[in-house]
Amino acid sequence: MIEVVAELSRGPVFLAGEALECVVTVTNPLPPTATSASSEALAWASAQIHCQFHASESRVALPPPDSSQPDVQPDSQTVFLPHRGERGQCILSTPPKILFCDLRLDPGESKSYSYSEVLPTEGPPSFRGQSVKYVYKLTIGCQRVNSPITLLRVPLRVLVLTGLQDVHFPQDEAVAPSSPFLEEDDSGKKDSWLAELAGERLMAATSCRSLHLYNISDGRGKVGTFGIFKSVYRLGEDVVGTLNLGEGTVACLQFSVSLQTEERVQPEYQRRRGTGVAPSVSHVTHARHQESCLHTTRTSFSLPIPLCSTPGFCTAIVSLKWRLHFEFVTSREPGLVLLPPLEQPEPATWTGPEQGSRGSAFCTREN
Amino acid sequence: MYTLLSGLYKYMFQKDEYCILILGLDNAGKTTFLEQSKTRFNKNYKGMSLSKITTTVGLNIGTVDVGKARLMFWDLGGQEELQSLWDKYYAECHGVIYVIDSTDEERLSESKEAFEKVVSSEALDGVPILVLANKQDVETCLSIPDIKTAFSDCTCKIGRRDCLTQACSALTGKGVREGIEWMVKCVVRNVHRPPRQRDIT
Repeated sequence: MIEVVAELSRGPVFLAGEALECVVTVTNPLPPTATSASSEALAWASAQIHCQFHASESRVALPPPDSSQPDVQPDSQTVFLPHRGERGQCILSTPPKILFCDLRLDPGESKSYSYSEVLPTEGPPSFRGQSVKYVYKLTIGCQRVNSPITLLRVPLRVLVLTGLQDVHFPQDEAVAPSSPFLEEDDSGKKDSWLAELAGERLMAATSCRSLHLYNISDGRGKVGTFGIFKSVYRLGEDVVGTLNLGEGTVACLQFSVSLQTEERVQPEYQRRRGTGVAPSVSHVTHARHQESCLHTTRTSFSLPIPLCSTPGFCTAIVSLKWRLHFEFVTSREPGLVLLPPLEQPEPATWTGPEQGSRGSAFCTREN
Repeated sequence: MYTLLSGLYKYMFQKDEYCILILGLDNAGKTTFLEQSKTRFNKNYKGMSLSKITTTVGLNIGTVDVGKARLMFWDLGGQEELQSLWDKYYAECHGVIYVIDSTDEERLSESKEAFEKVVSSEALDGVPILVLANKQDVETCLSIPDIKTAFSDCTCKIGRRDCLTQACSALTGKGVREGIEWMVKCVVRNVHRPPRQRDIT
C-alpha cells in the first residue's frame, strides 16, 4: 500500500493565469520494523488540470454526437485520463506533467514532488448553474506496472477576470516590487505581478462612484426614486442602494429587492420542444431585503454578494448576469392609507437596472 | 463428447495472440497510429477524432485481428521521463513498432538515441522491429533515405532480427496496413517468441 497526499500551498481558489502549486507526497506507511515490511514500487505519477463541462439535457441542446467522437478508451484504466468516469465532456486541460518515474519506497519512507502549472486564461470560470456546470480539478494519477491507474482528484475554483487575457508579462526587468521591503525571487514575480495587476484593475473598476437615479412608477403615477452609486462590484462587497419614497404620488406599502443572477443559454444552444418548452433562462437569488415602508420617506438597503458566487461571464453556450429585482406593493387609495384597503393591494413588479449592463459584472471596461 | 467438440471448435477458431509495443518520442504519432490501425482492421470499430488525441501517460491498449493472428498493441507514453518504463514490457512482447516524427528534424538525434537504447536491449533479441517514418503527409518532411542516414549508427545493433523502415502517415492511413501486415508475417514465423499461451479447455 502506498499513500498519496496532495497539498495546495495557498488554498483551492485561483485566478485564471495564475500558477497553481501543489506538493505531492508519496509514503510507504508501514513502519520500518513491521514484520511484513517490504518496499513498494510505483511506475509513474502524473498530474494534470482539467475543466469538465456538463449541460442539462432538458435545457441545452449540444451539437450532435457525430461531431464529437468518443474519447480514446474513455474508461481505460491503463492510460492517464483525468476525466475518467466523469459526466460531461472535458473542454480544457493542461498537458500532463510527470512527477516521477520508477519510484521505490522502503517501509516508512516518504518522498515529495512539486507540481506547478499556469491555469489557462481562455477557459470559463468555475460555475455550478441550473443549465450548465464548469468544474475544475487537479488530478494526480499513479500506476504500478501491470495495474490500473489510481486517480486522486483535488477540486479547484477558478475565477476569470475579464481583460487579463490580453496582458502579457513584461519582458524587461523594470518591474519593481511594490514594496521596497519585499524581496521576491524570479519565479514568484510573475504570479504576484498578475495578482497585483488584477487587484489594481478590480479596484479601478469597482471604485468608480457616480450616483445613478431611476424613477419608479406604476400605472398611476410616481412611486419613488431608486439611487445606486456603482454598477460594478467585487465578490464579497455589499450592493448599497437608496429609495426615496417621500415625493411619490402613489403610496408604497411594502417593497422587496433581491440580488439575483440570471443564467441564460445562448439562442443557438437552447433546447426547443413542441410542448413544454424548458426555460432557457433561470434565476438564482443570492440576497434579499424586504421592508414595510408606509410613511417612510427615505430608506436604504444593503445586499451582500456571496464570496462563493460566480462573477458574470459569457461563453459560447451560456451567459451569467447580475441584477437587482424589485417588487413594490402600492396602494390604490392615497387618501385612505390609514384604513385597510377594500381591495387586495396590487403588486407591481418592475425589474431594476441590471448589474454591469455595459458588460459583465467585474468587467474592466471604462465608463 | 461436448468437451471434445468444444475443444475442437476452440482449436479451429483460436487466434494466436502477439503483443506489439509501439514506442517512440512523444508527439511522434504512436497513439494516432494505433487509432488508425484499429479503424482499418476492425470493421465495427468506431474511431475517434484523430484531432482529439492528447499526450499519452500510461498505456493505450488496442487489439487488431489480421488473418489468424491477433495483435495486441501496447502504446506507451513517449515522454522522456516515461521511457525508462519501456523495458518493463520487452520480455513479453513479440514485436516493436518504433514511430519517428519525420517533420521534427531537431529531435531526430534524440529519437535515434532512444531507438539505440531499444535495439541494444537484450530482452528484445530476435524481436522484429518496424520503423515507421510518420507524418509523411507533410510536404516538408524528411525522406526515408534522410532518416536512414540519421539512424545509420544503429544498423550494427539490429543484428539478425527482422527490420523494416516504412514511410507512413498515421493521420491519412498511408503505409499503416503494409506495416502491420509485414509485422504479422514476422511475428508468426519467429519461432523464438511463440504466441501467448492460451488454455484450450
